[in-house]
Amino acid sequence: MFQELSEERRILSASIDSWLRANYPLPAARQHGPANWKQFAELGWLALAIPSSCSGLGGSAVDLALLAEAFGRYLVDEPYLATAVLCAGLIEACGSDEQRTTWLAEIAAGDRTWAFGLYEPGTQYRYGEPAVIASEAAGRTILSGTKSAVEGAAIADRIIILASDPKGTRGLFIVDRWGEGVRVDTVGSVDGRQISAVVLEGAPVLARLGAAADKISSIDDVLARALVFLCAQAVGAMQATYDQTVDYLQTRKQFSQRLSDFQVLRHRVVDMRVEIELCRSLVAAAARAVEANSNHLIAATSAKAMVGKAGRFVAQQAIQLHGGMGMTDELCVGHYLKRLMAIDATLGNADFHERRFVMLGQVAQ
Amino acid sequence: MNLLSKPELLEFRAEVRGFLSENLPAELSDRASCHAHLSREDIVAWHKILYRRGWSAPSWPKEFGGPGWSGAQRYIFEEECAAADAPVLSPFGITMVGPVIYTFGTPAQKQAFLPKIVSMDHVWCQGFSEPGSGSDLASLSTRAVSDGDDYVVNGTKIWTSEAHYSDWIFCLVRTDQGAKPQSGITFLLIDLRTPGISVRPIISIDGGHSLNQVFFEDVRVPKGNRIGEENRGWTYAKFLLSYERILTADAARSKRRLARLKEIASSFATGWLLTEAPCVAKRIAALEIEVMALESLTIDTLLKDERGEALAVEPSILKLRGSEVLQRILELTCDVLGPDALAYEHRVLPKGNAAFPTYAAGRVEEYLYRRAATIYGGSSEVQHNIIAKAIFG
Repeated sequence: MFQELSEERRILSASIDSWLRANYPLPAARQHGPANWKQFAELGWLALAIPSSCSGLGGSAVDLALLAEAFGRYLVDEPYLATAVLCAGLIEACGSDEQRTTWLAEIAAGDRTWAFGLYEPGTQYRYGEPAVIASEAAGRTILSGTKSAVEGAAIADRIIILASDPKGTRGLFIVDRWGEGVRVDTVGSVDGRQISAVVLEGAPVLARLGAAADKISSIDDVLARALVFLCAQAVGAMQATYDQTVDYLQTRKQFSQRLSDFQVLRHRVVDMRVEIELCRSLVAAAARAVEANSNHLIAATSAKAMVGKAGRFVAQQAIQLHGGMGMTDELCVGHYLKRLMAIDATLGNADFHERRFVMLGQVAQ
Repeated sequence: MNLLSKPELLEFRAEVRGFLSENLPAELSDRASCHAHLSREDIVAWHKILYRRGWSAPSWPKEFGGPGWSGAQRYIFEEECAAADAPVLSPFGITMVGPVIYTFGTPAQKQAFLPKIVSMDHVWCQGFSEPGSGSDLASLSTRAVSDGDDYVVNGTKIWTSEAHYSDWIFCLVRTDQGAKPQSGITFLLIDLRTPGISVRPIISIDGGHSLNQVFFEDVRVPKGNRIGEENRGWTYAKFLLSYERILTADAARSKRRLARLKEIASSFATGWLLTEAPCVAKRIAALEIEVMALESLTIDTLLKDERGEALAVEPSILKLRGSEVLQRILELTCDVLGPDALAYEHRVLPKGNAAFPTYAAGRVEEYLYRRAATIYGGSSEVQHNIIAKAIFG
């Protein structure tokens, strides 16, 4: 994905690819379990973005993008983003020294999984005014309200909840996923994973992340990194479905010609390629911006907007070019479409990020 | 629509609407609005409700059991059914093989098949595509060899919607290997209970089951089940395909999909009201205009057909643009759903959880399944070729 990579990063990228190629089966033949999570820990992937001072490898958004690109290519299902990017990022950005040391080490070792409850029903992608309330009752803090579209909550041990405290300060509160007052309603997601609603009914707070100060700008920073992760995953998925389409057109014949001989089909493939090359470059630029912490919000938002549209376009073309075969569950093209749709719908779709781009001031008034 | 506002048509519309509100069971319209794949029971149940009223074969002349409606009436009926979320009538009997039988069939075939299509005692499916013959349909290789009073059929058909619960299949088979591809094809009606036929389900990308592959192994088909002449099947198939395309613009259903999209967009309780967000409102408006144009051309084409004028490019234009507009409406629906587009298995959701709104149920499934709309019934590429041929020869 990147024009220039250090030797170290090239090795990282190649090792991720070769492990997934050997060990991660295609969707049709897939079984899931905690075994993979432990493997991810042993491979160091769970520690990738955690600072070296907290048992991590100290990787940046660029390293995460290399991992994500491979996750997209091999359609990795594990809720890595929730634990290792979002929650690890929030703990690093907002947690006390003790919280960071303990919890990040647990994440790196694969001992605990986390989820982040950000959105709420009926408010689309806006999270600035949480209706979930943290209040004091009998000497303890409890949470009430509902979080929606929570990835990874079904298997999480801990959930970080964005809520307003009695003073109206937006804070991050940790609950025990299996504790009293916490109900997790889980359904399948469009891309064959799981998505949950977290219903809090006087759920006791285990801890507050960091001091009682407003956390929105820290959340925005962590989201920027998560957006890069999602975008890089999309680039991997787009490239893979593009490669399969090119192969298919060179194999299949109709009217006694290879499909790749039909100009109209060739041009469709060209349009896919154009989108992918533009996305790859923009996402790489966003990863570097987030790594350098320079114009990172706008960089992440523009990449997510572009990738959301391009991903759908590329995957839809792949299905059309496969004809009826593209509609079957047996082939991967449909799975790439669904993953790309889910990526678009996660943490703000293209529509949302185009509007956010305007709000971030990149369009002249 | 001015063309549809004559007093007698307004009266007709009111009659259809009244019938639907009294006779369409709520659970049937609920399922029809949320599921891309209905059961045989549901499809037959709805068909029989219309049958009892004499409306189960909307496009057919009276002599064969249709209501003998004008083109305008047919469109109004479609529109009202769509607006009420009535299940879509299975097209394979009514829209496809039925008109072929009453146009080209023998008196015995008409008598044997047409009443059971109208009453839905026979559920039909279509055996055209094969694994090696999709867009290049004429290259099909399922063979029928003459043996006394029968043909013996060997081969396989694919993408056969509803085959797993159908009674009959109409097939294109090759009866002359030597001839030009189009001139060696014969049109056969095959009872799916004949020994030697097996059906394999194909699960589509939305996770549902409508598609199948059908295998024929030494299947004996009486020659009395051949439509018209041997080796002239291509002619009948072309008739069928052009007939099929007039209403496949699906303008009436797209209008309903658009209405649903607007309901979703206006149902957000707080914050951004999406219909007030100019960018979304503009995208909805653009699609609404497209649907108006499709509706207008559909009605024009139905009227032209009714006057007995030859249809040139209209059916292909309607299929081409109709399927694209349908897909764009469903894409925009996913966009408007935003994070609500992630949850998929709405059928098993805990009721009353605001995090899984009921308006989202079935919308993403429909988006996924209708990716096939530009592939089935002659792909967009095929439609482009047909139109180009009409232009350039």
